[in-house]
Amino acid sequence: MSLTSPLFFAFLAAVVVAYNISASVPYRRTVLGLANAFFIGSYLTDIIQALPLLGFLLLGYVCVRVLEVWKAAVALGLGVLSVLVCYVFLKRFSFFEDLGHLPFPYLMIGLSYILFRILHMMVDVRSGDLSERIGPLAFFRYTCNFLCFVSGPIQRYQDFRATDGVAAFDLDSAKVYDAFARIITGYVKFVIVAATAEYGFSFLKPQLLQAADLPVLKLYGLYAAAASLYTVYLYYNFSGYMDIVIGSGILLGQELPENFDRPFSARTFLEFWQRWHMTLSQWFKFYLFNPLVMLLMSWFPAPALTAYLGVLAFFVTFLVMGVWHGTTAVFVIYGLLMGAGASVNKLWQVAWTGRLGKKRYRALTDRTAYIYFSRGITIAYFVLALTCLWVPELSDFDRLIGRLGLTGILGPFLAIGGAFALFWFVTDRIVPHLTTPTFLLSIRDSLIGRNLSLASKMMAIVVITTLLHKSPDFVYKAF
Amino acid sequence: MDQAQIYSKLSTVFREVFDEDDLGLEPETTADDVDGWDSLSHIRLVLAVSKAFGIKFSASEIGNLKNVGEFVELIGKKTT
Repeated sequence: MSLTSPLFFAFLAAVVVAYNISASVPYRRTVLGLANAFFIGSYLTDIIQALPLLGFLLLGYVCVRVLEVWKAAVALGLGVLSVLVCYVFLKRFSFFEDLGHLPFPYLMIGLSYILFRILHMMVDVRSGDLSERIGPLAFFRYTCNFLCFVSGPIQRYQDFRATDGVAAFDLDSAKVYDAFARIITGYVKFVIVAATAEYGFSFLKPQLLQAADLPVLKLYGLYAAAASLYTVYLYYNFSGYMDIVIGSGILLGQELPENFDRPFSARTFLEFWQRWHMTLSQWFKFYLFNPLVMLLMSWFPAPALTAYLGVLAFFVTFLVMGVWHGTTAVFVIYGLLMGAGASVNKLWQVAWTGRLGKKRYRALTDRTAYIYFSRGITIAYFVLALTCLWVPELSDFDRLIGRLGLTGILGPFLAIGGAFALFWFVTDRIVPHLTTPTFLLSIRDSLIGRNLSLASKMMAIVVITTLLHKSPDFVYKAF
Repeated sequence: MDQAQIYSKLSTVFREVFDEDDLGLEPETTADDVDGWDSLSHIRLVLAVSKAFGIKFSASEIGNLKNVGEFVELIGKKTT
């Protein structure tokens, strides 16, 4: 069920109405459970296609229940291993083709995010952070919450449980308006900004990847434009999706976590990853990066080694994150590029802190030129590294990089970095001085003004959808 | 162990980890207030606190600590 399909609107409206008819907790939980089952069912043409997903859920549930009574490290290790092997088999990773695959088509959407939820439950049950007994229906409502099923956000079970069909939820007019405003903003991002960027990207990509030789400057320009448009498409598609599901969650009493916090305003690569796909970053930080660094530090306790142990942990974490994004070798390159970005960032901080001292280094990072320079290179690096996501086949990727050469990568890098630095410099200097006349603010904030604003956004969505002649799909569904 | 004792012992650990002899701790102190308190030194700090107080922290406890006040509260719970 696509988020832009009439079926989804009808489905969401029906679920919201059914959910809010009664304040009974068992009733509301039944509605949510049925909604999840219907949502998943919309992707199936045959019930057999759901069997691998059901098997994966059953395995996860058994592991969680076993860990409730057997909290040994070996139990957690065996559980994590069995869930990962099952996941890798079902996702058909190209590295493990020898494992074979099931002889029928089946549903793979949602598996990646269900994996994170199951692993989180297993670790937290074993550590005692999650002490309550989890029933099979609660497990299903959490792991297959239709709002988060396709691509998150990755909510902790403890936070989900606090709002799971709770009777105290009261839907007043202000909440309904906020929810609709958030949902419509999401559709504006999704259907207008992201779809327009994708339109441009889809036009440029074939020209860039075509076999014929292009003039050098045209090749570099095409690459810079295609990489930038893809980034705009990815961000607005994903953050628009988040607005839609978070807004829909308000109508169902769910407080879903945010996934983005103005990532393109980040001053460093490490800060960028605290603002981009935040629930995924946090999951990896909690369950892979932190335990790995702890392990390494317990083996090598010398403080002087901290940064180097961190570099190793960054590489491992981003490598796993990269491989999670896709099943080809290019995603390994993506993970290594992200790990390299984080590592260089950390080593740079350590080197200059050692050279200048903490206070002088902080003063350096607060200088205007430093701020915009670091913002520019942070975003340019990320934009070019994303090439791995839109050229996922190794042969295509290899050919493109070969044609571009070092100059063809460095040129677009400097151009994109310069453009971003200039954009932020101008924005930071001009925007604070812009003031809206008081009468316009009062019109905007009035009941009519607010609703007219929403209506005009909806009209714009209809117009752009008609012009583009296509219904956009959610990009992260593929990961 | 009462809160004053925890603050006293925790301050010693902080000063050793961040190599600042005049580092003072308040309940509202966060990573932004201490030079060098980043994701890596946070782990070193957690290891040092675990050793000093003889306690263990879970993955989400380590990741969810917002300020020194929460840290002290958590240590208090684990040492009682």
